[in-house]
Amino acid sequence: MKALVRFLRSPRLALGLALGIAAYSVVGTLIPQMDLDPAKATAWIAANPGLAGVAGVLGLFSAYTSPIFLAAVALLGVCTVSCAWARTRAAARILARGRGPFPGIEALEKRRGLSAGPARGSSSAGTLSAAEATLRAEGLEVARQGDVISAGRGTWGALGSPVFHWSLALLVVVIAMGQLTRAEGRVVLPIGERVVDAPDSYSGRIEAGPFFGGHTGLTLAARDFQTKTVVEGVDRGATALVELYRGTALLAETRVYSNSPLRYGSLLIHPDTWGYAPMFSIETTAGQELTTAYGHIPISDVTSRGAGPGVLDLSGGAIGRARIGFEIPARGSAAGQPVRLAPSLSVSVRRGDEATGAPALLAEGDRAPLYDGMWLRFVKRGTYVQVAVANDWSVLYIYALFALAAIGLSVGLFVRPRSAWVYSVDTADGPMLTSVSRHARGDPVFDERLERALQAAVAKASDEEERRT
Amino acid sequence: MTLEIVLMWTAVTMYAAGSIAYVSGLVFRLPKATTIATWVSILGLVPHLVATGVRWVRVGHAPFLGFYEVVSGLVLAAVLTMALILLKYRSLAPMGVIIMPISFLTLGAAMLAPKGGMEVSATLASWWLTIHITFAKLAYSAFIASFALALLYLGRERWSEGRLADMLSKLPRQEVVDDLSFKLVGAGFIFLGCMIAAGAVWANEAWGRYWAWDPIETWSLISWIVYAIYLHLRLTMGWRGRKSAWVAVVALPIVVFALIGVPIVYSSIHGAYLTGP
Repeated sequence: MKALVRFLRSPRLALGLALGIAAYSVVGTLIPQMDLDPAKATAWIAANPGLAGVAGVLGLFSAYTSPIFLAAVALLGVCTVSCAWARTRAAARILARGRGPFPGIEALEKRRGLSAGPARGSSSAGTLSAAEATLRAEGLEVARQGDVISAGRGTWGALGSPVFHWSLALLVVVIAMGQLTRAEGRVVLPIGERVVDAPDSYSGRIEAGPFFGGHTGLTLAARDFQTKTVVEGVDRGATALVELYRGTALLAETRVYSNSPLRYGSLLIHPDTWGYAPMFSIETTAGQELTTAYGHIPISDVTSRGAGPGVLDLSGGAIGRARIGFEIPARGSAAGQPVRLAPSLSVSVRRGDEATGAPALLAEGDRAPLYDGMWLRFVKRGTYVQVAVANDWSVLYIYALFALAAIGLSVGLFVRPRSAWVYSVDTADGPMLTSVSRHARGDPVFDERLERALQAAVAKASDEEERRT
Repeated sequence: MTLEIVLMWTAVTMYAAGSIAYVSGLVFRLPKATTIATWVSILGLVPHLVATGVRWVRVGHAPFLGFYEVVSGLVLAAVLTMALILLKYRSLAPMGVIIMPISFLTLGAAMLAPKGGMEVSATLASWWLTIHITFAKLAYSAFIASFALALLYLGRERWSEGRLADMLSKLPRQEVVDDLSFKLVGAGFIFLGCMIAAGAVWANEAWGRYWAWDPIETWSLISWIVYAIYLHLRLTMGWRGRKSAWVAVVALPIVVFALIGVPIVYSSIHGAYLTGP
C-alpha cells in the first residue's frame, strides 16, 4: 500500500502523465475528430487508410473521450489527490509548528548562518533590540525569547499548494460528474406556443450522460419574436423572449441571444436558429378539428425561390401515416434586399408512399381535401425559434473551484513562508549578530534582506552607544 | 496616412532604434547605448499607446480583432511589461536585446496586415471577452519576459568570459534572474489559467458549453500544461538555473503558436479573432 501511495505521489509520474496528455492532445488536434466534424474525419480515414488503423486503435478519432485519454486524466487526478494529501500534512506541520520552541544558541551555532558586526561598544541586549527594530522595518514578524529572535513571514503561504491541488483534484471530479449527469438538446418553440421540457419535445439527438436524472418537466414558451435585435449598438440577430413556467407560474424570462441565455437552476437556454412554422389542422368536412401540428422551415432554407421545402410527418388514429410537404413561394425580391415571401403556402400530401393529388396553394385559413373525408387547413404561417437547452448543474461549481485553485496557486507561488533565527554572540570587539535562515523555494533575496537588516542593526546599536557615551 | 498609422510607424521606428541601440550596447560594450536603448524603447510606448487609443475610439472596441490588433496589443503588453520590470531592476536592461528586436519585427509584420477593423459580432459582444483578452495579454507578456530572462541567464552562463561577459556582469546575480524568470512564469501560468477560465465562462454564455475541444481551446490547455510542467520540474524536481531556463525558452514558442499559429493552421470558430469571419 505504501509503495502504491509513493508511486502515485511521485512527481515523475505526474510529469509523465501531464506530458502524455499534452502530447496526446496535440495529436488530437491534428486528426479530425468524429465528435466535432464527422464528415471530415470520415474523409481523412478514406485518404489515410494506413494511419487511420493506428489512430483508430489509439482512439484518436474521439481523442478527448477515448479510454486512453480519460484513463490518463483520471490517473493524474489520483496523483493530484495523493500529492494534495502529502502537501496538506506538510502545511499542517508548518502551521502547527508556527515559530515553534525557540532553539538554544548552541543548537543554532551548529548551523551555517550570516553574520554582521561587531557592534562596537554596544551590549548584546542592545544589539538584539536594534535587530528587532530593523527586522520589523524589513516587513518581518518578530518575536524574541531571551537571546534569540524569531523573524519571519508568510507562514500561511504553506496553505497555497494544498488548496491548489485539492481544488484541481475536485475540479477533475466535478467535471467528470457533470459530464456523466448532463444533457443537452434542441427544442423547437413555435412563437406563442408552450412546450414541455420532456424527451419528446427535443428535435434531433439528445446528448445525455449515462446518469442523467431526467428532464425537468418545466414548460418553455417563446413570444415577442424580432428578426433583428440591436443591443448596445450590436446586432444580436433574430431573438425571442423565452419564458420558463412551472405549471402556470412564470419562473424566468429572458430575451435570449448570444451571451444572453436564460438561466434557471441547472438549465441554460441558448438561441440556436429560427425559421417559419406553418400551422396546420386536420379536420372533418364539418370543420371539427382532429389534430394540429407545426411544420418547420429553418431560415437557412430560404432562397430567392422561397422558403423550404419542409416536411411534416403525421401518424396515428384516422390519419394513418401522412407526409405533408410544403413551401412558401417568393413574392419577388429586389437585388440586395431580403426575399419577400408570399402569404400563401404550396402544399402536397402523400398518404403512405403515394401522392394524394396535385400540390395546392393555400392562403392562411384555406383548406384542401386530404383523404377519407378529412381536410387539411393552413391555419397560419407562424415563426419558431429553436433553442439549445443544456441541463448541467456542474458549471457554477467548476467556476468556483477554478477560482479557488487560482487563489491557492497565487498564494502557493508568491507567499513564500520564510523565517530565520537571529542571535548575538559576544566577541572581544563587541556583539556579533548571526542569523540562521529557513526559506521556502530558495528565495534568493531573503538572505540579502536579512543581512541588510542585521548590518543596519549593528550600525544602529553602535550609534546609540556612541550617542550615550 | 491617418494619425493612427503615423503614430504606429513612429512606434515601430522607435522600437527599431531601441533594438539597434541594445544590440550595439551589448556587442560594442557601450553601457550608454543600453541606457539610450531603454529610454527610446520606453518612449516608443507613447505613440504605440496613443495609436491604440485612437484606433479603439475609431473601431469602437479594444485591440483584439484581426492580426494587426492582436499582434500590436501583444507587443504593447510585452514592452510595457519590460518597462515595469526595468523600473524595479534597472540592471536587467539587457533583456531589451531579446524583447525589442522581437517586438520591432512582429509589430512591423503587423503593420503589413489589413487594418480595416473588424466588427464586433453578437458572439464577441461580451464583457467576458474583455476579461479573457486582458488575462491573455498579461499571460503572454509575462511569458515573453520570462523567456528573455531565461535567455539572459543562459547567455551569461555560456559567455562567462570575454566581451559579452563584461556587459552581462552588470546583471543581478544569476539566482535573482532565475528567480524572477520563475516568478514571471508563475504569474503567467495563473493569468493563462484565468484566460482559459474566462474563455470557458464566455463560451458557456455564448454557445451553451464551456469546453468543446476546439483546436484553440486545446492548444491553450496544452500551453497551460507545458508551463505546469515547468513549475513542477522546478518545485518538486528541483530543476533550477540552466535546466529551468531551457524549459522557459522551449515553452514560449508553444504559447505563441497557440495564439497566432493555431488560428492560421487550423479551421476553428475561435479563429475569427485573428483571421476574420
